[in-house]
Amino acid sequence: MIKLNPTTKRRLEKFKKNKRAYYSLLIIFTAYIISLFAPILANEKPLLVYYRGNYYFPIFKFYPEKTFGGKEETLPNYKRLLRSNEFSKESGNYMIFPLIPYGYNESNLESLEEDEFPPSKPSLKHLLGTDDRGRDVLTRILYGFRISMSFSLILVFIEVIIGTIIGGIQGYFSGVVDLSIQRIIEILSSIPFLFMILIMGSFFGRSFGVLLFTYAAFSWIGISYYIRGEFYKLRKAQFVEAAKAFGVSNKKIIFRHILPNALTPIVTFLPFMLIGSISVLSALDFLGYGIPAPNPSWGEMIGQGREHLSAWWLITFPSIALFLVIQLTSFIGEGLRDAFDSKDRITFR
Amino acid sequence: MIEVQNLSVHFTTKSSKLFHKNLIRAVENVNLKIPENTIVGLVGESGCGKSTLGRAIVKLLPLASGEIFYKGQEITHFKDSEFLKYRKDLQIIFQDPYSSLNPRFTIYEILTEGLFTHFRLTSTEARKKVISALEQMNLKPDILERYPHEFSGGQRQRIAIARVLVLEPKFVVCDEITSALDVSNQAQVINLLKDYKDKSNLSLLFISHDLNLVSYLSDEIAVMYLGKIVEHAKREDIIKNPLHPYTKALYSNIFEINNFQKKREVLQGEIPGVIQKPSGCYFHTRCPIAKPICSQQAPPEKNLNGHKVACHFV
Amino acid sequence: MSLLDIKNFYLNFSLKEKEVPVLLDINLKIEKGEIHAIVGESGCGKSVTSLAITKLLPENLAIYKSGKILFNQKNILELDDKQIREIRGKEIAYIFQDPFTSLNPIKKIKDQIIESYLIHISQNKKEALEKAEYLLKKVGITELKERLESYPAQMSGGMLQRISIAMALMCEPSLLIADEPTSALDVTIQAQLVDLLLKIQAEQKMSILFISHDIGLVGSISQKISVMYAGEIIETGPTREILTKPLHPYTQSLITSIPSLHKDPNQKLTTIFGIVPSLGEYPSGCHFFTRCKEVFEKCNQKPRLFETNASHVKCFLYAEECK
Repeated sequence: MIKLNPTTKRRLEKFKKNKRAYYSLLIIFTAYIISLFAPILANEKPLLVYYRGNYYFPIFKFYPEKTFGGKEETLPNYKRLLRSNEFSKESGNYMIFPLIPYGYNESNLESLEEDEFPPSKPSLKHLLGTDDRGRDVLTRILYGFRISMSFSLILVFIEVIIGTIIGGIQGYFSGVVDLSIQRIIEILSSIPFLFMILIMGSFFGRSFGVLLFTYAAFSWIGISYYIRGEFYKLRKAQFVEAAKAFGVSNKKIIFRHILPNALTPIVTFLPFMLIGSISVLSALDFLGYGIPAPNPSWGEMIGQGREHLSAWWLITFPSIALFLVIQLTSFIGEGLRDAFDSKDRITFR
Repeated sequence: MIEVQNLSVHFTTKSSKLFHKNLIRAVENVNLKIPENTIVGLVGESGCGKSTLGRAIVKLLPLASGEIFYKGQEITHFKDSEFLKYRKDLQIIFQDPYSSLNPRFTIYEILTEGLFTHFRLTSTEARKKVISALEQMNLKPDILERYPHEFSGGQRQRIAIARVLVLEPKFVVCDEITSALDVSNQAQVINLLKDYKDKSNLSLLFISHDLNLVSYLSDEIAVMYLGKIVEHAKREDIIKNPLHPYTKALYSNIFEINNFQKKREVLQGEIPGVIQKPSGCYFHTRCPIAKPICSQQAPPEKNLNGHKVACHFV
Repeated sequence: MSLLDIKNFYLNFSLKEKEVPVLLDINLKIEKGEIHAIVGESGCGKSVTSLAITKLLPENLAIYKSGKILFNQKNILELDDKQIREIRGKEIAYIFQDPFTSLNPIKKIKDQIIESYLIHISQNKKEALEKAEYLLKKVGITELKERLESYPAQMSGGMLQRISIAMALMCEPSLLIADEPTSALDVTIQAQLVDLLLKIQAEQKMSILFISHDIGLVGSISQKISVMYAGEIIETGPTREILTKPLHPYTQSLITSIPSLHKDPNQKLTTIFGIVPSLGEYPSGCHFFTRCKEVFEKCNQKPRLFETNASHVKCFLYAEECK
């Protein structure tokens, strides 16, 4: 077991005591892990095909149509294959489909009833309905969670690293170094974020990577302000002066003394940073400038819902999902903030 | 052992005028000798520069001018890397026990940081040295795995002192080390420090605003006012026969527990600011015996049988 | 009749759903025109005591358990808020340690200094300002007009403390409670301020409750001293007696642990082993018995204040039954 600083232990316990925050963390964490397994949970390809005595795993490996008696080299439509005479006539052939037998980009037009048009309302087949292309909403919500959460986590990670490095350099060296970096930051922060996204998108094409890169290029600024302030403050701390008097090198002072003390409160910012980026991403998707179609995203679904107002499920379910994620994450954030609050000790003279 | 010649430390701060910086002469042309195995007490009020002087001697602050000799070797011109080996001999203890220990380090890590910077030791050897330093400060080895916030102010200050003693320094600047402590903690720290000093041939520059404490503890006493040393003499000399009017005023103004009925000559006027110091002798604005020459000329440093004073009329 | 008479006062704090004793069995008398000092180390409860006198402690924290605080024979603990507010600032005034935080940094001096006058005496601003100028002159402030128009941050600590004193005197209180008023000041400025307080006290025949950790200081100005330790007054008596013939073992150790220029440098300062018990962890018997050199069996019971010739001591060594 890693030996924990008693302060850290105390904070962990305080966090655990806050049931709302603790359970929110468990829920979000579990949901994210589950969403990472989305391809196994919701896919139009079956998990397992038993055909003529052989086992096939279509989700993990690509088999051309020919493998199953078709003519083409392309990806077979497994559901059609299942119903085809070829497949079903032979005994012993079976397919095991995932729990949710729909893909995020699969137009389930064939499964619709006679007089139904996409988007179709929630039914037993499609628990949350389908969107305007007949794609299953539940599946899209699941995959959408994976994308937005992953995007935000990576973004926050990059933000913190870049922000800490730059803010740390500013705060530790101050003087000309600080001033020049500060001027650059000011120029950078006056560039309109939305326009940059549009420009980068049209230059390099919209993709997860381009979006991430552009967003990260701006979002580290907030963290750098904070770290810069902390470094300025900690540089003057007496234990840093004491270390200097011992002859401890600058590098060691930064990494062993200043950085750990500066970074600790950042933990309390993380959930709110996550919320920020999830919201911005959804907003961009809603406007159509975010993650490109056909990738599933909640913002895009809500945008669709705006165009098909009678299909209430298109707005409602993604909105509820977004709301839950933001709400639970903010509970976690509050819990962290309370856990780090050192005011429960009363000093008195 | 330590000799300081003509040492000055200047700071610049923002001023309300555009493109103009205020120059603060925090320490001006100080000459000070600290012999081996001696406690030199340094007293003064706000703005006198005593803390600045202490920090400058251990090269935590840059000098505007002057030289520092350690055992005859001039050390101000050394680069950081050359000076590193002297750092274990010339040490400093700070005032605030709450901020001089990194709250995220264990006591062991705090005590060994300086040690590992200067010596190559196995952890067993380090542990032995650390435990012995703790013993000098009346602390038990079982505190090594604990963290600073688990201890009181007095204990923390003893830990801070142990941290310095573990390097076996020859000269330590004590910058108001007991000012944040209660009387009983102060007594303990002072007793322990004195014991250690007697055993190990250590010199101390003991900086404090508490003249009673400095008079009890020091072998020699130096008095500073607005950046200059106005008087420096052996303890008995300065107590029995203070020469400088400021020293006289200080001894008259302090409250003595064994002499609580004494008549005090209260010094009038405010302490001048460090930015706009008075002309001539800095003390002339409050001096009871000031004459015209005092506002025109800075007083000469006189040496009367080892008793140094800077005053026109002594 | 005493101006202030605290009788058997007990105070608790409500901390984290527990009730914790803070002050125990406080007995204190201050006569008219007397300077009475409370000394003790940090954490002994001297500041709490001073605030408790006018119920200035946080409401959700302080529980005024039992006892009486008689001011001019009225029990403050039984007064309602309105009645207490009439006493605060008018008959009992305070000055605190750090003038940079006890004065409002964003208000001009002239606005702050007349505040209590306007509340208690008269709403006439001109009158109030005249009184303020008179008092500021008395406390030695020159350049009155400029000082009145300044903000606290523009002045030195010594000057601000003088202003605090003038502010406290605006309504001519009969009791001035000074909580470490000079601890943050330089030696020479401290001396000036103490002299000023003595001068004013002599003129106005005002009583002062002076709280300090500096025994040398209170020795020079007070007529009576009460020594506090861990929430209790353990010894109280005339200044001369306490300083020259301290009775309680704690007081004795305290006095000999203070360095002085008269002390022989070869003689060690007295130390007291152990540490001060913290809030909520007071021992059950005598609060000092875990650190006392003269401890004996009776000490695990609670002593009361025993009377000796000149003073009162809370120690069984002086109890009739133990002699």
